[in-house]
Amino acid sequence: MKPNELTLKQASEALAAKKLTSVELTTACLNEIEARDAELGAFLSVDREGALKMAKESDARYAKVESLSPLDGIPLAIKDNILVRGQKATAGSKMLENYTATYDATVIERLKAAGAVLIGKTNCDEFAMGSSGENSAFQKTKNPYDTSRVPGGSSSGSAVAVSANMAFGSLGSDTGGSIRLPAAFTGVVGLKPTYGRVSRYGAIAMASSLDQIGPFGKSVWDVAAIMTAIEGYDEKDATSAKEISAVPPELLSANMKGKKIGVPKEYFIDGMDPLVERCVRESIDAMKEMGAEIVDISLPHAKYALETYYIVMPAEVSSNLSRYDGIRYGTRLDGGSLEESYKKTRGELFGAEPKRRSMIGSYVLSAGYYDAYYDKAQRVRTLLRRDFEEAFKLCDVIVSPVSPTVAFKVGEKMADPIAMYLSDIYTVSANMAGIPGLSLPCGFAHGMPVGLQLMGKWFDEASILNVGLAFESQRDWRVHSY
Amino acid sequence: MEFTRQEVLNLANLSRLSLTEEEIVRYQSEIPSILEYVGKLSEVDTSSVAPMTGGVSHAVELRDDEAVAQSEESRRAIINEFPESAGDLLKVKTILTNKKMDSRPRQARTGLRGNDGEVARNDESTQGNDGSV
Repeated sequence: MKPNELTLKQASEALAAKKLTSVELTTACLNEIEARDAELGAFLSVDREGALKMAKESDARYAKVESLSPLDGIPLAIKDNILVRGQKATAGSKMLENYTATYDATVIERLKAAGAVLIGKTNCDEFAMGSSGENSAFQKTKNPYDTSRVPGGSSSGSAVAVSANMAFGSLGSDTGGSIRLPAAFTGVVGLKPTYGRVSRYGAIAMASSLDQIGPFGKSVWDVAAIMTAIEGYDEKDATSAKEISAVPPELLSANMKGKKIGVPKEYFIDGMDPLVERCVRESIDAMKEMGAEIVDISLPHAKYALETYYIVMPAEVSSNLSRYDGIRYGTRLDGGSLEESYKKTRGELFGAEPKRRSMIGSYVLSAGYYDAYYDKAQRVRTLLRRDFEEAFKLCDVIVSPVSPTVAFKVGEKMADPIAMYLSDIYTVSANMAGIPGLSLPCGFAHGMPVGLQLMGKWFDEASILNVGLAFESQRDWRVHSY
Repeated sequence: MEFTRQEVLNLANLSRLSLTEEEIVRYQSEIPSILEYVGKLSEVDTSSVAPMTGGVSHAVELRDDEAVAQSEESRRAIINEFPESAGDLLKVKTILTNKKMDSRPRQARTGLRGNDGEVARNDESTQGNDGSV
């Protein structure tokens, strides 16, 4: 086994036992990128020199028995909409093609303080808008299980980097499913934390009431280890939560006994791939055999979640993207007058999806339509939240599919925005309500990985991580094919 | 349902976007089809429900609005990102002309008239406190 094929936990243990060095782990990841990334397109930039420098510093700490955390010396990849000082941060957009970050995001400051090795920036849909990874202005990331298929988006490169053993873990962002969907499509674990648990300072904003940064890993333990390093209050993010109890991975327990797992009847709908459904249902049966109590629950407004999302999110997008005016940073195109320069800069440098969402946002926020669309959606959002409050009176964790299908073919949904949006039908509710969601692989359908979603109560990441760990340790997803 | 060409152009104007002919035609059908899809919400009774305005239930805390001194390195990094500059100053477009002076709203409070553009002092932070650039 090559060093880059280890899990983060195994690599961390090997470093502590001095069986491997960080330089060896980092070199193995860099070699893997060199060998396969021309085909997979996971990275937009690779910081070879910087990563090796960080690795050497980490090895010096291990030599003195002064390692900083379980992440010390571990190569990680970062989605390109998260700022790393001195490195490009394009967010997958031509608008920021030449933008170099002038400061570190809080999550990056924390990863650096934990000793992690930052290996490069990963490809994503433009400004994190997309479900397939095809909306990046620079390249299309491919699914390592079948390169004719998409890896899911928007955190495509971060998922593929982990799935293809180019990094031991990574950071993505999730506004409507952008961590959980690519995790499911590429057979890795991804966590969308509770809104407010992880600082958004230094994350390029898409929809500020929904965005959350979160980790990808090869296992639940790996994801918990990264989460422990990045979470917690930050005065630079006004929505950051003060009192949260951390869940370091060593405190997780792989015990399913007595856990109440809710199955929402609304999540098994027409249009769902029958093999994906079988894979998910048999996984739920397996949880029962492991000692969980399966409870039927109802989320009556779930059928309106995607519609609500596609009003609230574009409204916030139209506001957040207004800062890209070509004045203070990014690229500026001259259109004559100031107003024409704004239009030319934005018209030529934004891709189709940011333009579409900006215009939809302008529409739903305009006088005359505000009440019918935006205000209405904000009220339905309250109902979506209440659905979860009621459901969590009956169960500890809610289980569902991550997406109705496995990874689809490159190009298949690019011409039909609504078909593309439907990929997120099971994931957007967690963002609308602000609850955490974990995506973990549970088997194969049509030869492609299937994701199982575990949703928890607000700030109760511990329960979904515990259930996830129990599931993962008692059922090898790689042997279940449908 | 189709949008008229003018309806698309109005939205593009609100969003400060120039569009190609091809885009105008595409958005004439695409935008209304998305609006029709999300319009399904009208069937939900929300008469007794308050809107949820934001992602958190805890109180959002704002920091004091005060200038914080930046390091020279940080200042230099920000200046390096200016699309156009004159020395350490950010170069911007003319916003007031004699002809249009009365008909246009004031869009910026910093700015000195120049010949082919205006030069403004970069005295505002380039980052907000909402986790964004």
